[in-house]
Amino acid sequence: MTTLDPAARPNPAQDWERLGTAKLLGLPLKDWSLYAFLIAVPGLPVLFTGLAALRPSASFDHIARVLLGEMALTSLALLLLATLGATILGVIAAWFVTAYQFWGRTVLSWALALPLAMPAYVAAYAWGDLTGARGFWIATLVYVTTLYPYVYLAARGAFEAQSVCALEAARLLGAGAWKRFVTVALPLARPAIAAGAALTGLEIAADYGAADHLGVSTLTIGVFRAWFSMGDLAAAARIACLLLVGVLFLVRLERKSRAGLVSGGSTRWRTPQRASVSGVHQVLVTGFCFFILTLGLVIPVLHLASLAIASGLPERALSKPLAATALLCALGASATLVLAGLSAFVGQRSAQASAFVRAVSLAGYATPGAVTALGILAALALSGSHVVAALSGPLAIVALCYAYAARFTAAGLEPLSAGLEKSTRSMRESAQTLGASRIKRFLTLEAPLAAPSAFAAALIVAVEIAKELPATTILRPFGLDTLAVRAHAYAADERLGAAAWPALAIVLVALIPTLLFSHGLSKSRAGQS
Amino acid sequence: MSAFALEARNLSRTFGAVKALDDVSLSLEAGKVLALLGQSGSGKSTLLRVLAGLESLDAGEVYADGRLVSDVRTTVPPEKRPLGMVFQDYALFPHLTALGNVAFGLGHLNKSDRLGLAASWLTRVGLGDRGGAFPHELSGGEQQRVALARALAPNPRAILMDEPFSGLDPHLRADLQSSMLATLAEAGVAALIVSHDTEEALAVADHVAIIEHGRILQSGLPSEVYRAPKSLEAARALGAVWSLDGHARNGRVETGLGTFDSPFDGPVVVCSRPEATLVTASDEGQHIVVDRRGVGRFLTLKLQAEAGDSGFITALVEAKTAPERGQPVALSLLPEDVFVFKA
Repeated sequence: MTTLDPAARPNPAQDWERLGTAKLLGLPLKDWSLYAFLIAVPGLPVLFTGLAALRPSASFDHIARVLLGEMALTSLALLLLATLGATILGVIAAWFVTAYQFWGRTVLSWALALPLAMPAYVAAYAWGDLTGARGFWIATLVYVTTLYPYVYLAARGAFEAQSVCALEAARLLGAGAWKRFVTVALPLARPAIAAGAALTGLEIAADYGAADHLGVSTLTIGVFRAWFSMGDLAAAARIACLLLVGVLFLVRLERKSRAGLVSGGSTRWRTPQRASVSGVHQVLVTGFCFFILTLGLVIPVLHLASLAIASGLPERALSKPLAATALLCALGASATLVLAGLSAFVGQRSAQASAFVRAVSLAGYATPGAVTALGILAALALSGSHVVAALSGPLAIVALCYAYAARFTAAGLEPLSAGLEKSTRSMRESAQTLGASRIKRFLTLEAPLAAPSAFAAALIVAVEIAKELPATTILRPFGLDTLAVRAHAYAADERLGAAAWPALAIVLVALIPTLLFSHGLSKSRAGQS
Repeated sequence: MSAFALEARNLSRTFGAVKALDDVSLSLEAGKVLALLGQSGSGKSTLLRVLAGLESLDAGEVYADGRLVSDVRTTVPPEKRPLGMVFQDYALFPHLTALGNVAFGLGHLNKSDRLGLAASWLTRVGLGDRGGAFPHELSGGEQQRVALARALAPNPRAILMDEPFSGLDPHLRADLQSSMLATLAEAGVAALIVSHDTEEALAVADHVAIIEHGRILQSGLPSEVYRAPKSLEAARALGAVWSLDGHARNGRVETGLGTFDSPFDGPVVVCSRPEATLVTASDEGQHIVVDRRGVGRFLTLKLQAEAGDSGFITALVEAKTAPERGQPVALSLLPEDVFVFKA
């Protein structure tokens, strides 16, 4: 009779499948508790918003009678119109860049994504001042020109992936350029375009700064007014619930579109044959691409720069808000990356787990920042604390980090998962057969391979936090002004020259990862297999 | 107590409704190479993973170096087994150099011993000057040799290889196979090579085992299995085979090629190998050449019975004497080259 090796333990292979993540953390966590934790982070603020909405409200009847209908209609109209506009611009630009060879194409292919670095509220300061107008139409212009890159990137990815198989087949069957676009490229790219449009819609629904500055009463503005002007948490929560219904629709659209995504049908990759355009057509194509880039980025930046130079540095220097932004970025990004890392680990186990963590993080991202923040306030209020007092100290920073983690885990999850996948299953098993323990495998294999992606994730999340306005406005401790909060306060006082400094600082910081990301993406798609 | 480097007894493993392994037994001797042949989905990869400890068992036992490492209740983890593994995609660590990869499994040594031993292993596989190269800078053949050195460096009792030559150009394979055999013989380890390629398996194997639907159909010396297959599948696994349907009565089955002994009565399959099928051009012959293919010394003929017997027969003949297409031929077979199986 052979005796068992003392190092043997019950079914480690299955054991690892089941408890790998928990063991890494040194905690005996069971599956359900892990999943429950991941759901709770974005879920609890929404739950508490719902609970708060059930409480009696002093002013909601008044709001419902006088304002709610207008707010809902304005939100809906703005959402539909601006999403449609951004979709049209994004799809046309993506098609030009993938199907045609024209002057400036290489630079434009990545530069067209750069308005991602321009927060809608910053563009709103510039366009509001430049046109001297406020209201619905300027807000639509601001959303369309700053948010079209979401559709542009999604559509470009889809168009480029389909170029080899379907489009060349269509060409051989005698279809001209326009027919190829309408009958092949557009239907194949439809799921990606719809997903991009849904993201655009979510950004519009979540926006507070641009709508506030341009005086458009959307539901998000309603949430703010009910809380800040009337101090009525229950009324704010009720408006937030209405906003969430709209968001839920957008999330469903995104999820359904993602499910409809098909790969190009071929794993081989070749540089697509681009048709050259010349003469008037070239001027039109190049002109269109430069035009939308100019509207989204160049004009707002130049106008703000001229305002900034004209007014000189504001008397209160930027060092304090810069330090506050840096502090919140560091703490918030750390909290977010821990959650994203945990999600990525859980998602690694199976296709279902991966779909689960994606859905949960998307839900967190889709919840408007104002609603997440309001939910955290509601949780504090329902637990009996005096909200304003509770938010004066370090607790406010914890609450803010929570809000950031709930919202931006999705942004960190994508690169982190990609980083973890760089150590393939056979590499991990190989390390195992070479005698490496779980901790050694993580330290010597998975962590070094995922490090560049983790850095990218940290950068992306930090920039999202630097741009974030509504949750920061609601939850920040008294006196801790970030660049975004400071810029918005100056802009509200019509001191645009002073607002331009912090606003440009945000754009500058946001341009760094946007450039890296967009440039890298277009290089990786440049045709090498 | 088992004397084998690695021994599997009556292994079973089920995934849902699929029996990936069904009562599989095999053993590896030090210094010998066992080739496990099977189609994709036959269970060969599952067997490899069970032996490595990457997968648990529903029934049976695995012994490594005489020590029980897997049974229904327990699985000694892969990192605690005296086994090496070479993965199909080699699974080299992309952030480590060739030397770093080979040194990875030598954590129990101090740094200078570790690097020294890793360097000597790279030299053994002929890559002494490539230690500083990263995997993406190595050719496919070089990557394969680094993977082999990495698996052998910790001095395992047995090494498991999953389709180790499948990603390589055909002209590279022969070189790599012979250098791998030399390395294995020098190291004196037992090796299990999983393959779906008959030629590759026969080129390296001391023993073969044929697996299908999670069961070992037959195992033994390659020449034994070649000469006396126990089933049509086993016969096919070791080379080309043609077959005819027949009906046996009283221990005999009649075909257009003659009458053969049959161990069973009822519907049977009569088969033989192209190289055992002797062809003579003859106007009285009962078969017609319908196709001839190939270049070089030998050609493959496709033959059909004039009477319209079911199925084609293939024969390997010398090019010089090969009959033309449309030529009637007479066929003959030695009784020991004919296999009769239950249909």
